[in-house]
Amino acid sequence: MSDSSLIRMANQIAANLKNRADHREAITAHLKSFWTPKMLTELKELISENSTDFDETIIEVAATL
Amino acid sequence: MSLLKETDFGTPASDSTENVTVIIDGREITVPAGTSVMRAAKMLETTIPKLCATDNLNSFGSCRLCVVEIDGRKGTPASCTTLVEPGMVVRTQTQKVEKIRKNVMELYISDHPLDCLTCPANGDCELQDMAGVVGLREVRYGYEGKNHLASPTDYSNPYFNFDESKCIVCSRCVRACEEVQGTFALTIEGRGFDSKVSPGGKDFLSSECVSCGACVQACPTSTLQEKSVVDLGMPNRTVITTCAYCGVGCSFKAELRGDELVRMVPHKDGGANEGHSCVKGRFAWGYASHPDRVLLPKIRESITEPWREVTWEEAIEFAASKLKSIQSKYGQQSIGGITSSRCTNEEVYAVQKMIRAAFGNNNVDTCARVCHSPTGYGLKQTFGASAGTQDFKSVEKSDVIIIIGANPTDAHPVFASRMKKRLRKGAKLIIVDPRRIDLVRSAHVEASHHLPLLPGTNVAMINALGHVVATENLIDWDFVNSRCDLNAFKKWEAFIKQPENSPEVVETITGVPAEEIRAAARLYASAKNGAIYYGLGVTEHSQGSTMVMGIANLAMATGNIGREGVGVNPLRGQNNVQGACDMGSFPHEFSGYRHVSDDVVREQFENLWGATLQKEPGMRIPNMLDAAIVGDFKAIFIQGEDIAQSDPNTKHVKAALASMALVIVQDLFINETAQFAHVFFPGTSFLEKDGTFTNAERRINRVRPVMASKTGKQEWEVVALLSKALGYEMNYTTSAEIMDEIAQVTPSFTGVSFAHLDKVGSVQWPCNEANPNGTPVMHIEQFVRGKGQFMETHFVPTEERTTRKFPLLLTTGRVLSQYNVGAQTRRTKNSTWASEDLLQIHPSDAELRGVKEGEWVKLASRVGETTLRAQLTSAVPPGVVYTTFHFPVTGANVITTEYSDWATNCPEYKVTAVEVMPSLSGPTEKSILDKSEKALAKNV
Repeated sequence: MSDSSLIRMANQIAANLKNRADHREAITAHLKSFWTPKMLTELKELISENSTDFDETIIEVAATL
Repeated sequence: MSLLKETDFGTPASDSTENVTVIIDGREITVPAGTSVMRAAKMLETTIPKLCATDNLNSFGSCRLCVVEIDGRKGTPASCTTLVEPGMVVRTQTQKVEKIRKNVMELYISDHPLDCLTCPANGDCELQDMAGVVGLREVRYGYEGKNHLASPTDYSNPYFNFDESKCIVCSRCVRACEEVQGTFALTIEGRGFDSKVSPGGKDFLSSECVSCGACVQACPTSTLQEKSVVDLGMPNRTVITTCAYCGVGCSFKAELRGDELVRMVPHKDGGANEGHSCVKGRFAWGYASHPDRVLLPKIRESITEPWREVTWEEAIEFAASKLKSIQSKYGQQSIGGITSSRCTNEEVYAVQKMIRAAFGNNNVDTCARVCHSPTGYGLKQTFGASAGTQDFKSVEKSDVIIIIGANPTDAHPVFASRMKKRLRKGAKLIIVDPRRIDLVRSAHVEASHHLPLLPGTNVAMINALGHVVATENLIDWDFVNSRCDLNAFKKWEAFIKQPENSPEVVETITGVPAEEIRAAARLYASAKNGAIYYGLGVTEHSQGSTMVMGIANLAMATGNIGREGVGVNPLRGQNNVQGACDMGSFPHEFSGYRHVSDDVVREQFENLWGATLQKEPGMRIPNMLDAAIVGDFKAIFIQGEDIAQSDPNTKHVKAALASMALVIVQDLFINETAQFAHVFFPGTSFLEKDGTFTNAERRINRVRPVMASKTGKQEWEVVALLSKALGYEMNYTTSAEIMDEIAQVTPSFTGVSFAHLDKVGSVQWPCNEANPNGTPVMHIEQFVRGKGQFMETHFVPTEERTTRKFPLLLTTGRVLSQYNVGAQTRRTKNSTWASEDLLQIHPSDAELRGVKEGEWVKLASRVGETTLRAQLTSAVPPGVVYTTFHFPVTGANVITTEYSDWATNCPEYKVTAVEVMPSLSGPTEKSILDKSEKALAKNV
C-alpha cells in the first residue's frame, strides 16, 4: 500500500465512526475485519514514524491492535 | 410472436378473491370474479379464436373474432371483453359464431398480402393460424378494391421492420407500448379505413420508441418483424436462458436455426421479467459472434511484444509457472485475482476457490467493489443480509416509491416498466437525484417530489427525511418496538432529532428546499406500503455505506420492511453482481458472507477443499493496485472485468497494471486491461455458458448453453486447469457439480441445484430446508440478524470539493442503449442510438464558458482530462455536469478520483470536481490516453 492511501483510508474510517459512543470498538472491529495484517502493520509503523498525519482516534486504536 | 408458445389466456388474470362459477360448452368452471369469458374458457383448455387479445394486455374487443353466444343475452358478445357472471352459460362453438368468425377473417384477408409462403412469419403468424382455425377457404370480395397492400415498409430501426401492408390494426403493438413498456410511442393515426399504426414521427428510429421489442412480440402478423428472422429464416429450436446485461436478469427464449441464434424472445414464465425485455437483452446479443472475439489463448513475455497464439496447455503452463515463480520470489501475498459479475456463480466460485486454495491467500475481490459493495456492508449491518429485501413483483403493491440515485428507465428498463405500470395505477413517486431523470416527468408518470440534491450530499438528505419522521411522530412504533433493537433505536432517535439533521439546515447543504424535504418524508412515512429503490447514485460515494444504512434506518422507522410492496431494494448494475458477492468473492468472506476468521466456517471449507486457508482478510482491488505501484503485488488474474476502463483514476490503474510482472485476463475481447496482459484466456459469452446468475432480487436463474463454447472450454474448466497446474486440483466434471458444492457449503443455497432450478424455473435465496422454493420477501417475521439494527449515520462530507479551478461537479451514469464499458453493446447496432459519450451541461454553465451544443469540450479534473461533445440540457442543474463511460476513446474514468467509500473503498464516481472548456478537437486514435499507455509500456 502507498502511505498516502493508507493514511487517507484510516482517517476516513475514523471520521465516519468517531461520533459513535462505541467508536473505539467500532474502528477496531472494522480494521480487523477488512484490513490485511500487512496493512495493519504498516499503519502502526506510519503512526510511529509520524503520528501527526493521523486522526487521534486512529492512533489510540492502533496502539491496541 | 415466438417459436415456443407459452399458454396465452387471452386476457390478464383477475386478482379478485371472490369466485364465480360458469358453464362453458357444457363444462363447469369456477374462476375469480373479473375473469373474462375468453380466459375462463382457456382455463378449461377451450381455445376461442382471437387476434387482438393476448393475456399481457387489457382486453380491447376490436377484432370480433372471439365472439360467443351466452344464454339469455342478445347478440354475440366478444368473449375477451365480457366478464363471467354467476350461472352464466356460454357456448363458444355454434354455427352462428363460426359464421361470424369466418366472415371476419375473410375481411381481414381481403386486405392482406397473399405471400404466406415467402413471408418471414410463415409458420409463426396468428393471422395465418386463425384463417386455418375458422376454416377460411375463399375470399369472396376479390383483391381489386381499395386496400393497403402498397403501403410502405419502415426499415429505419436496426433490429426490426415495420411493414404497414401486413398490418390488421389490432392495436396490440400500440397497447404493448403503453401497457407493457409504458413509453406511449405508438398510436393509431387516422380514422376508419385510413387507420394505421404510427410511431408518431417520421419513422420508428426518429420516434420515441425505445426498441424494447414489446410491439414486435405482440404483433400477430409479420408487420413488426425482427430483421434477423427476415435474414435468417424462422428458428426451429428454443433454449431458455438468462440475459447477461443488467441486474434485472430477464429470462429469454433463445431461438435458433441449428446452432445459429436467430432471435431472443423474453420468456413469459421468467420471474424477473414476465415476458418483457429491453433493447439490450432483446436485440444486442450480436457481440457474442463479433469478429473481435478472441477464441485462442495468447501469451507474451512482455506487454511491448506482440501476442502469440498458443495451445491451452502452453498458456496454462506459462501462466502457472510464472505465478509460482513470482510467489517464490515475492511471497505468498504477492498475487491475487478479481472475479466478475458478468460470469456465472459457478465460474466465480471456481476463481475464488483457486485463489484461496491454490494461490494460498485471500487476495480475491470482485467488480462489485466498484458498484454495490456498500450495499453488502450497509444491509448486513442493519438487516443481517447483504441483499435487497423484495422481489420485483413487490412493486405492484407499493403506494409510495422513492428512487434514490438510480435511473431505472435507462439502466434497469424492464423493472422500470413494471414500476411505471404501478405508477399509472396511482402510486406516488419521490425522486432523489441531482438530475431530472425521465421518471420525474414522462408519459403518464409524474413524480410528486423531485429532490435535486447536490452530488455528495445523500447522507444529509436521508438524515433530514429521518428527522422529519422522528420529530413529526411518523414512526411506526409497533414495528420498531417488536422488530428492532431498542437500544440502537434510541441512540438513532436521539441522533436524528438533532437540529443539524433538520430539513432547514440540510437545505443549506443539499440545495433542496426544506418544505419539499418535509413533504416527501411525510408522503413516504404515511404510505400504507412505502418502497425504496436505489442505485449507484447511493453507493458510489465516500459515504456510500453510510447512505445505505440511512436508507435502512428510514425503512425500519416507518415499518416498511417484511411484506409485499415495501422494502429496501438495490438495483444492481450487472447481471450477476448479487451472485458474485454471494459466492465468496470478497477478500474477507467465504460464500454466504461468512468471515474468513470464523474458525468453524473456515474449517468446513478446509475439510471440503483439502487445503489450508488463511484466516486474515486479503486485499481489495484498490489495495492490490496500490500495492502493485509500490512493488509488493506482482501478479493478478482478472476474470471478465475491464478495470483499465471501468475503475476510477485510469492513469493510476494503468500504472499499477504496467508495474505487475504478470497480468492474466480471461475475457471475450482484447479490452483495455488486456493491453497490459501477458496471458489472455479467451472467455465464453452468456450464450455458451452453463451455470446460474443471481439477479438483484436474489433470483437464481439458469444460464443454459445455447450453443457450444466457441473456445472449446467453459471458463471454470480453464480455471480448474490453471489451479491444477499450480498444484491444487478441483476435479469438477460439470458446472452442476460446482453448484452442488456451493449448496453444500452455503446455508442460503442448500436447496439449490440445477435439477431443482430446471424443475421450478428459478428460486430466490434463501433456498433451503425451511424455504425449499425460495424467499421472495425477506425479513417477514424477523430480521436475518434477529432485531433490526438502527445505525447512527453522521454526515461526513467528501474531501472532493469544488474550487475556483474546478468549479463544477461531475457525476456519471449510463444510457439505455449502451452498457457499462460498452464491450458488449459497442459491438452491436445499439450504437445507432449512442455512438459516443456526451457531456451534459446546463445551458447557463455552457453559456458562461462559451460552450455550444454538439461542440467539443475539454473536461478536466485534478487527476486527468479528456475531450467529448457537449449536450446542453436543463436535466442537469447549474453547477453539475454528467457523462457516461461507455467508450474507451473518451475514457471518462481518466477524470474520476481516488476517493472512495470509507467502509468498502467503493470509488466515488459520482462526485468529481471538474472544469469544462471549449476544445478545438475531440479524442482520436492518438489520444492522450494512448500516449500515456505507450509511455507506461516504455517505462516497463
